[in-house]
Amino acid sequence: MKQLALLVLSVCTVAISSCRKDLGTKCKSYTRVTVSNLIGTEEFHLDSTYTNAAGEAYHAYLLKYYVSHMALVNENGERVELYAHELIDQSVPSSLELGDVEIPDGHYTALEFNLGVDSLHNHSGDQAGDLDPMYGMIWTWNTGYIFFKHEGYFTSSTSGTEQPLIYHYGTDRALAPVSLPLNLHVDNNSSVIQLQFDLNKLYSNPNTVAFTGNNNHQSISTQDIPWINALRANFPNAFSANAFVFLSE
Amino acid sequence: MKKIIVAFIFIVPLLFVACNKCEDDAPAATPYSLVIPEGLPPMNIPSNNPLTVEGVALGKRLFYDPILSANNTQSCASCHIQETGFSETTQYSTGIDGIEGNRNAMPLINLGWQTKFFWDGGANGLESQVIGPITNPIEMHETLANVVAKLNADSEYPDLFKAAFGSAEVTSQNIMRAIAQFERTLISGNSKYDQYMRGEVFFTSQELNGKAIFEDMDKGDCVHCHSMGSTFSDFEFRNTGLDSISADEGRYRITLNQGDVGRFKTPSLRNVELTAPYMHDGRFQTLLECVQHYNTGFHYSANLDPNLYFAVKGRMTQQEMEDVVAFLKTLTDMEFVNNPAFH
Repeated sequence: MKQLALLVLSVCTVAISSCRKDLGTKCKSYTRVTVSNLIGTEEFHLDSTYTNAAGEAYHAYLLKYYVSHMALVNENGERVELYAHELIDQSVPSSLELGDVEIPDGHYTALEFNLGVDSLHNHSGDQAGDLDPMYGMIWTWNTGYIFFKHEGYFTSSTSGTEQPLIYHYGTDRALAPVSLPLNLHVDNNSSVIQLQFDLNKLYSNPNTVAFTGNNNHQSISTQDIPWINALRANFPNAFSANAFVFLSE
Repeated sequence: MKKIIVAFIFIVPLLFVACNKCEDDAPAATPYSLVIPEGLPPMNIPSNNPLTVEGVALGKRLFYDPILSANNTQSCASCHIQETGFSETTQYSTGIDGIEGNRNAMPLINLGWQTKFFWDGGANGLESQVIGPITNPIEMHETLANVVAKLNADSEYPDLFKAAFGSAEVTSQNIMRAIAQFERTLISGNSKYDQYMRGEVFFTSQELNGKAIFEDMDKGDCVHCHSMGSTFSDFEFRNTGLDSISADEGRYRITLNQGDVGRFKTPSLRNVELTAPYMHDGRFQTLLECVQHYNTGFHYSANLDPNLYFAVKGRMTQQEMEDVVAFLKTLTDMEFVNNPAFH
C-alpha cells in the first residue's frame, strides 16, 4: 500500500511538473528575457542628454514600447512563444525583467517578436495585463495601441532652441517584426536572454530620422506615414540579443 | 494494481477541478435577462462580457457617478440625459475645464446593435468606447489610472465589482465592461411606430403619408441609410453634403482615406424628436430643417453620398416634408425616456 502511495505521489508530481505546453518529455530548462535600453554601448537614462545621428542634442522624459509574441526559434524552425504582450517602460525597472518561462531543451538560433501590438489585439481596449488601457498606451478616440512612445526635448538644428519632441508610433501598418540571431543551447539548465535596444540606432539605421521640423508625429495623419515607414525599417536594426546559459545544478 | 492506476486517472483530474473551484469562491453573478422588443433583431453581445444583474447595476452607478471625472464634477449622464434620449440639448457639450467640444453629444439608444462608436466611428466596440470621454481633455479629463485608484479606495465600489465580476480589485477592463453592460440595456422599442407595426395602434393619414415618403426612393429616400424595421440606421459612414468643404474631416481622421473626408456615422432616428439639435455639429434645431437639407439644402462634393448625388433637389413639397416629420415623431418612445431602470 505504501508503495502504491509513493507511486501515486510520483505520478502526481510528474503530472504537475510536466511541461505546460507539452512540447517534449525533458522540460526542465527555464529562460527569461531582460531588456536594456541603450545609447550605443551605454545604458540609457531618462533625462540624460544624448546626441543623435543628425547631430541634435536630445533627452527623453518618457520611453515606453510594446513587444509582442516574443518567441525562441530552434534550429528546425519551431517556435516557442515566451511572452504574449509586454510593455517596456524605462521608468519602471520591473518592466525590463520579463518573467521565467519553461522551455524545451534544444538549440535555439533566433529570438523573434513584434515591436507593437498585433492586429488581433490592436482594436479593442477591453483588455487586461500589459494591454490594460490604464498604462496610457492607447488612443482613446481611435481605438488602437501606441506601439512606441518617446516624449522629450531636443535642440533644433536651425533655431538652436530647445523644442518638444512627441513621437507616438502606432497603427497596424507600423507593426515591425524583429528577428535576431541567437545561439542558445539548453539541456536541463537555466538561461538569460539579454535583449538590447539602442535608441540612437532607431533614429539612424538605415534611415536617419532628424528631429528638427519633424518633432511631432502621432500616427494620425498621412504626413506621419513616411515617418512610420522609416522607423519600421529601423526597428529591427535597433535591437540585438545575447544568451547566457547557467551550468546545470 | 491496474484498478488503482485507473482510480488515479480519475482522482488526479478531480484534484485539479477542486483546486480551480477553491480559487473561485465568489458567488457567480446573476444572468440578466435582456428583453428584445418584437421587431428588433437579436443583439450580438460579446461572449466575454455577458450581461448580469450585478454588472448592469454597477454600470448604471458608474454612468451616473462624477467620480469618473478629474474633479468629480461630471458623469456620463452630464451630457447624456435620459429625457432627451441620453443626448444633450446644447449644440456642443462643455467639459470639466469649461472647454466646449466640436461635436454634438450622440444619443445613447439601442447601442447593442452598433459596432462602431463616436461620430467618426473611432471606438471599436462599446467597451472600448467607455474610455474615450473619461480621458478626453475637453470632456471628463481624467486618467484611467486615477479612476481605477479612486474606485479601489472607495468604500463601496470594490464589493460591487466583486459581485459583478468575481474580483474586488477594480480594473479598467471591468469598468469598461460594466458601463457597456448598462448601455446595452438602453433599448427603445415601444414607440408609436413599434405599436403600429405590432398592429396595436393606427397611424394618422399624415403619419401614413410620411412613412410612404420616407420609404419612397423617388421622394424622401430616407430609408436607404436609416434602415427600417429596427434600428433606423445602417450605422455606415456617409457624407450627407452638409458642406462642400468639410470643416470637420469626420471618418477621415480615423481611416486617413480621402474618400472618408466629411463622412459621419448615420445616427439612429429613434426618439429623434427629443434629440435636437441635429447633425454631427448640431447645426439644425428642428426636424423640418433636417428634411429640408435632404430635399434642397445639400452641397455637392467629391465625397457626397451617391444616394444624394442622384437625388433630385426639390423632389418633396412642403406638405410632404411636414408629413415626413410627422412620421419621425412616431419614433418617440416615452417609455424609454421615463424608464426608471435607466436612472
